[in-house]
Amino acid sequence: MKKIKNLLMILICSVVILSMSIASVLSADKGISYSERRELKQFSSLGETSILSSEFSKEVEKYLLDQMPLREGLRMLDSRIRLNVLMQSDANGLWAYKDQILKNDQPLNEKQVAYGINLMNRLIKTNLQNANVFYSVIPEKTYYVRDKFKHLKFDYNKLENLLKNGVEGASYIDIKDTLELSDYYLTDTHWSQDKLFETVDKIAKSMGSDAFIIPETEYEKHTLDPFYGVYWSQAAIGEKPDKLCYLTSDYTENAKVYGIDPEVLKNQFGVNDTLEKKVYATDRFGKMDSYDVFLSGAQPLVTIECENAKTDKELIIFRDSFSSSIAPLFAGAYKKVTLIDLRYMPSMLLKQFVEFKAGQDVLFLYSASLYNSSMLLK
Amino acid sequence: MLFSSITFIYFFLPLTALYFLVPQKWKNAFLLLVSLIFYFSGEPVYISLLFISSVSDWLHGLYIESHRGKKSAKVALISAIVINVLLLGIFKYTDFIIATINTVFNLSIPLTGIVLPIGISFFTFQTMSYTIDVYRGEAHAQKNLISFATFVCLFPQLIAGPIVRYTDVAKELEERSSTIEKVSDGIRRFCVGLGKKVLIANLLGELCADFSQSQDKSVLFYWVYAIAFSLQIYFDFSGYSDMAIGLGKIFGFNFPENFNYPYISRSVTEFWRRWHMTLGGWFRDYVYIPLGGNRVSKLKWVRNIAVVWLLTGIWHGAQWNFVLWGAFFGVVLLIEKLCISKWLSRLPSFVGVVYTSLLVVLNFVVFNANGLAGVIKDFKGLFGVGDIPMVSYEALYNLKSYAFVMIIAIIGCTPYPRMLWEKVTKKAAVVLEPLGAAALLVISTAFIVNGSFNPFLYFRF
Repeated sequence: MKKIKNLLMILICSVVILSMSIASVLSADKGISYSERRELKQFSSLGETSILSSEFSKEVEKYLLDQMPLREGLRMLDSRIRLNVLMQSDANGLWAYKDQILKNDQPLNEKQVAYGINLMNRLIKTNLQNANVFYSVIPEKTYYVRDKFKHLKFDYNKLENLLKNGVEGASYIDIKDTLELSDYYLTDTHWSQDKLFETVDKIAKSMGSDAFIIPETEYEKHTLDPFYGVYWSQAAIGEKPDKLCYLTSDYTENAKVYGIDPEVLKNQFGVNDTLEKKVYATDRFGKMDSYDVFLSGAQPLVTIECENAKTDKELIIFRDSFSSSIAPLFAGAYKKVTLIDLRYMPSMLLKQFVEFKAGQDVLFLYSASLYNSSMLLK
Repeated sequence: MLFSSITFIYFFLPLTALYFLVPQKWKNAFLLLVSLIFYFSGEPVYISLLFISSVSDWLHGLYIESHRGKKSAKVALISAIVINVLLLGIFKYTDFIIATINTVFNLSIPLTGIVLPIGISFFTFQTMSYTIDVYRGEAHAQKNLISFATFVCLFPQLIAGPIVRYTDVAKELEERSSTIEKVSDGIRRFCVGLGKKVLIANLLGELCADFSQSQDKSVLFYWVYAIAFSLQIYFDFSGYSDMAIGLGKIFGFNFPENFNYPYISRSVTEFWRRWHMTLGGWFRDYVYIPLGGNRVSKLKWVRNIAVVWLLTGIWHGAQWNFVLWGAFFGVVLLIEKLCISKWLSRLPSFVGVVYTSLLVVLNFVVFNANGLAGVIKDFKGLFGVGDIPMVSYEALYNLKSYAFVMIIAIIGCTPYPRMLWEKVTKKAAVVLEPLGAAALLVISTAFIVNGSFNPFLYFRF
């Protein structure tokens, strides 16, 4: 019996090790992990590090980790064991509550916020002197469970106080009460477009354009599924996917969406993209980030032109990814909505691409986490 | 290259399996070659130190044997020790000495920035023990450089022990066999060690990392951290030792045990008979006993204890908190031996274990502190000195999140899980043991793939 046990030990463990090694060698390198939304390390990149450097073995390990066979299944196994066997409260900082996947937050970083405030003040002073400037904070979904989960660290009151005391020449719009946990996707960090009417109304009221906002009844709802949000892939705990929802109206259907001139985009930003875009780029669904359906995702500059809008007013939104889904809901009330993402568009170049005029409505609409990492803004 | 890495488990290990196809006379050369590849992958430049240390002690050993009984043999011994101590001193302690001089004399001598070569504390001690043993006549000098270099560079124990002495493996270097039983035992031991390291130590390490980054510390959080770190270092180091011993078995070596359930000790004296046993044994045989051990006057005996424990402290790291850590153990051992050993032996086992654990946990806070200032800060936190709350939400969250892991770890520090496993699997061991080992392998792989937190604490020594 002992001999059989010993043989089985050698056989089973050798099969596990060798099958993984052989599969790893024989399988072609995967370029992208759609579930993790990142490019995977390639064998060819190993040549960039000298073999005489101790970094080389670290790079090899990174490559092997990225190209590990059954990677997705192994990641899910890790999360399942952490949550269900070891009874941990979270798996790699993520946990599920009422089907919502939530992520532990970071404490408020006052230095980062101060940087953001300085940048906003500089922009207001140099470009937006005669505009109607507003700013708001999009709460992360953990904001709505913080009474239950006291360990959450982000101090929203302090952030609001820092902004109110620091930002000059702009009015604060508090949208926290217009949202609730169920307004966010279960598996993603973002809000769902069909749940934003109260938020849009509050923002529009503050800017004096609420009379022209297109009512919910004029929209047609469409869904795309399965939508695997960013937390779904990070958590790897196998929660059910969402349905991505987008709303169309006459205004969104007839709107024209432009990015930056492709030549300029290529020369100045090193990016290849078309000039004309769509309000809803449904062909992006199921790619690396399905939320890119909204205005084709992250762009330095996007303009929505709506010829049949109810007013000739213009709205400029300094934004992060959340604004991609809320901006189309302003389309009927504004003839032109310009979205500027300062993570990709250096503020020094703004005048080259955007015409700032008196009377424009301007909204700095950033999520709490972006305020907390404002140094990403250029 | 870490044992708990994909590179090692799924690429390096299959490569080493060629060992079983290599003819007997080439087996040492093969092991030497793969060991050098192993070391080169982590320290491409400092591999030269391995050559220097190996060749130096090999030559010194040959010289000492051929001049046995003569004064020149003693000179050769001193020369070998000086070379090893110099290697260790230059690469491990230069900046520590400069920083201390700068602090004491208010100078600003620039630091050299020398990077600590992986495993230098281990392989210099191993080679020193060889030369000393040859001088003492306890070992014959190894005539074959390949065999000697294989002993020094043998990858399972090269970078983090156990500290294998030449006498432990001298016979096996000449002749050894890899039986099915040994290979099977080795694989089982490796998988258990991997599980201890990846599934327990790394998770507890995440808790310690959360603590150090926390801005919401409390007395409770300090104690949770102190206990978690004490468990982490045990599972980290004993897990690594298990993997090393297991790998040794696969290639036909019997390495000495390094841990024997230290957290069930009823005194600190007993703790050090169970913790990092090969280091304790090294200092006992090559420092304490040559100084006279306990067969000298009380004053000299106190001196001998002090020397051993200050060296033990400084061996662990070139920082003053390690010296303090060693000194603390030295003082406690003296108190136990001089005053309370009889009293301790009469105490119920449970009380003794609590007493020892408390002292060990507190001293591991010293061990892991960021210098002496960090020691003071951590102790203030542990005892609620200053403006620190008793409890914080983050402490409660982490305690809840890691409670089960900590309970598993605490139970895992005792022999009970092993006894239970042997009882449960008695009838079905033929299937359960291989499946258990394979499950540990797969689950550990999942944790390695999904997590980036995979340090190894003893690499810095």
